[in-house]
Amino acid sequence: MNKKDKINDLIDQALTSADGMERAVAKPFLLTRINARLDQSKETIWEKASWFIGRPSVAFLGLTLLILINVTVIIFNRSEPGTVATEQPAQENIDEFSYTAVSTIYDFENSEPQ
Amino acid sequence: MNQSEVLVNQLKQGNQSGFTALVDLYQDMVYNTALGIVQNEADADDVTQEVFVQVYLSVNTFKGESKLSTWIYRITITKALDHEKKKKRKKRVGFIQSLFGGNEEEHHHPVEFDHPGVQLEKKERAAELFKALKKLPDKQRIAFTLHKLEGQSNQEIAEIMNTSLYAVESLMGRAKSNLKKILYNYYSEKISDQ
Repeated sequence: MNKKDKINDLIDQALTSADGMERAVAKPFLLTRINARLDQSKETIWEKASWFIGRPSVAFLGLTLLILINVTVIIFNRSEPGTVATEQPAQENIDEFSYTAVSTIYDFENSEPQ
Repeated sequence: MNQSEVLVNQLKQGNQSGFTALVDLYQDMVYNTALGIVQNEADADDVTQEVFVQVYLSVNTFKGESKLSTWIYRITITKALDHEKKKKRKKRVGFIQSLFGGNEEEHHHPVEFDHPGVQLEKKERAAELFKALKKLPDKQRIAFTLHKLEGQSNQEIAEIMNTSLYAVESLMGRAKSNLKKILYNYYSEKISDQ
């Protein structure tokens, strides 16, 4: 048998090697493993959210953001003068209870020009 | 109403015993097909689980236009090919990482696949056939695998692959011709080395 014939014979053997092959059988307890996978995929949105929030990186980022927001609010509140907020009620009180306030026609007529 | 229609109806109603019966009926078909494609027992087991999870979750989309087995075959093929792609991607990443000095364990040569259903005296040739099969384009490989491993007729393969009978015949012809070429090169080198 020459080389080419030998190769062709091997090719035929390889191509027919799968003939009469038996079906491979699935591993035992397949259903148990499938059910476990199904349980994993049935996680609710809250479970997924809590898993996400519970990750150290996300928790750390969240905490850092919270601290940053607080610090920013404190800094901005300190830098702005607090006069506007406190003066307004004081002025309202003066307007309301002031003796000089013009409230009657008599007062209006007798008030002196300022 | 045949058995698969009963199973589908039970599944659609959320009946767990229906799902158990479906797994019992189709597990070997799914596993054998997946094994033929991924050529690794652990991966085939993984794909089989994924297929049944998919069947369970998307049974409501099954309209009964094709046979239940045809639908399950389609899911199996898709999942097996996806699994292969993921594995190849991981290997590529592992190879790149190994070039930069890390994770060298990931980069390894594939071991020869030994299908458990092959007769003992044909094991060596079958391993060479499976190795050659890996080099075929996906469609040719699927058609050949369904025919040889699952004993499907060309008509059934056409239904599974959602194509014409003529296209399947053509795919089978090209698959055999390409396999012959690949095996010829392999045996030529092997004989020259001896």
